[in-house]
Amino acid sequence: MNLDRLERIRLVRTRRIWVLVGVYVFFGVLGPVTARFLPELLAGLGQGVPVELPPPTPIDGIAQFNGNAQQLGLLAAVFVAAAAVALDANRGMAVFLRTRATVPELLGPRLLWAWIGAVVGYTAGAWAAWGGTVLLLGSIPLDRFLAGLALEALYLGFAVAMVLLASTYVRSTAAVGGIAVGVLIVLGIGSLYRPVGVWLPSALAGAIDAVVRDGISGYWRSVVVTVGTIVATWPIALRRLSTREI
Amino acid sequence: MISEPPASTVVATDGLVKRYGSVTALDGVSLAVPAGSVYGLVGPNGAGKTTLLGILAGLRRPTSGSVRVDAEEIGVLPDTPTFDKWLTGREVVELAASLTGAPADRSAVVLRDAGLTAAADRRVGGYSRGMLQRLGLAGSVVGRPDLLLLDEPAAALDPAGRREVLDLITRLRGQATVVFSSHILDDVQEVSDHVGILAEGRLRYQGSLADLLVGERTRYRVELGTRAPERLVAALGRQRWVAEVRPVDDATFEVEVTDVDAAERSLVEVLARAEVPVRSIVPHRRSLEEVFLELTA
Repeated sequence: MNLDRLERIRLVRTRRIWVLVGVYVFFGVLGPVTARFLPELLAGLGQGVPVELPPPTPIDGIAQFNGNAQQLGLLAAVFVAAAAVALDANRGMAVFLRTRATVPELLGPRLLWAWIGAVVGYTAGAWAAWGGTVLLLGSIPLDRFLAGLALEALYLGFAVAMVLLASTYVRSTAAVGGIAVGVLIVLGIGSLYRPVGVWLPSALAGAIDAVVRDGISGYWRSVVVTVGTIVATWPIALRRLSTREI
Repeated sequence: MISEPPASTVVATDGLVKRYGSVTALDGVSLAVPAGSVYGLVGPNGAGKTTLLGILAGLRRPTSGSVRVDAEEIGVLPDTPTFDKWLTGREVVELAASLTGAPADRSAVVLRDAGLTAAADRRVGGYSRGMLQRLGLAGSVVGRPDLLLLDEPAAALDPAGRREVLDLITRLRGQATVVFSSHILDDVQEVSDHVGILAEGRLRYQGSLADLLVGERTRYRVELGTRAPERLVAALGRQRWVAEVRPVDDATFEVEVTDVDAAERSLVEVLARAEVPVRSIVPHRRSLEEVFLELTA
């Protein structure tokens, strides 16, 4: 048993990986189906009122998945990460771990596996959405789909970094997750103002459908800022956590 | 009442102060833990025991004062050891072993010593409080620490659980220096050889348990086969080593002495000269509880 294995089995035995995969795959399956049958669904709900919609495109399948995944899926990913990263949430456990290993030794595998869990979940959901889209709506360019997937993986890394940063200010899992979600929401609102938004990490959230449509070239600024923020978070968090009293 | 620090100490603090805002948790504590001792840190709730152990473990920083810990490997057991519920007991100890560089086969040994072999492959979410405490101890000793810091290791356990934990601490004697905090004085008196009495952040006593219980004064209870004659009480009162003679009943009295050696040499002689039948002479050993209440009152 070592710290790396501890985090791998944390994901499996707590069933958190299945929660992540389940949530994302559910929306992955639902997205293309909803996009394909939206006119019929609206017509059924409209009780005879005619609803005119343009014919669904393959991008709509991915966009439907993405819209849902960015809400419940991200929420699940953040709280799964918070449950692992909030080292000091329980004093008895914190004493056990922090008197035997350094903060970087403890946090490294926790961050890595929290991020891997989120990426696996999102990727599984995205592939489900891709499969459904190809079946129901038509093909989409695979290279752009993969590029969008990579941007989302980077954004999930940013989300995990925000969880880490939050864990240096508060101790409980709920508070850590809550603060991280709050930061992500505020940045998401900030990204609505385009001159600023193109620089923010939140531009990467749900970029997959836009990347499939327009390509990846418009995202370099937010990629640079996101990578820089993730890298900067590590020493800040280490300094704060290493001096925190238990 | 602070004894001179022993020549070989594993832990030594000097004028340790810890403040949390306006609250002073430790106020000038100079601790000296002899190498190889089982040191009981006694004090009421809120005395500063957990804070002191936290500083020794490096988990808290003193506001002022110095700390010296001469130990390569330190094992720490918090008052409520907690582990991921989905790990088995064996996995918890194996994790502790891997983090301290202990050989893999050591886990089975400490699990056996903690009486957890049968439960080793069960998830700790189903462990009782006593089992968690013993698991915590097993995880603390698996790396063969030179120094063990145990915070209230037997608190909140039922009598059987308490007995198991105290037996484990007793078995550690000679293997490591043990500092354990407790407000259960009987536990401390049973397993410690050195004590520190902490109250309101100050160390009121530090030294060997034996010295503490004998004290600067001690008492002998003398029971005669007849009514105690006045001349005997007067004769005892004239001895320079006698502080006080107190009647208990007609045939029994207590002699409080200031010099135990002199009393042991001369008490019997004084009684013999009075030519009274003596049924018993019993030195009165103070309990830790008595001393504790005296020092912390």
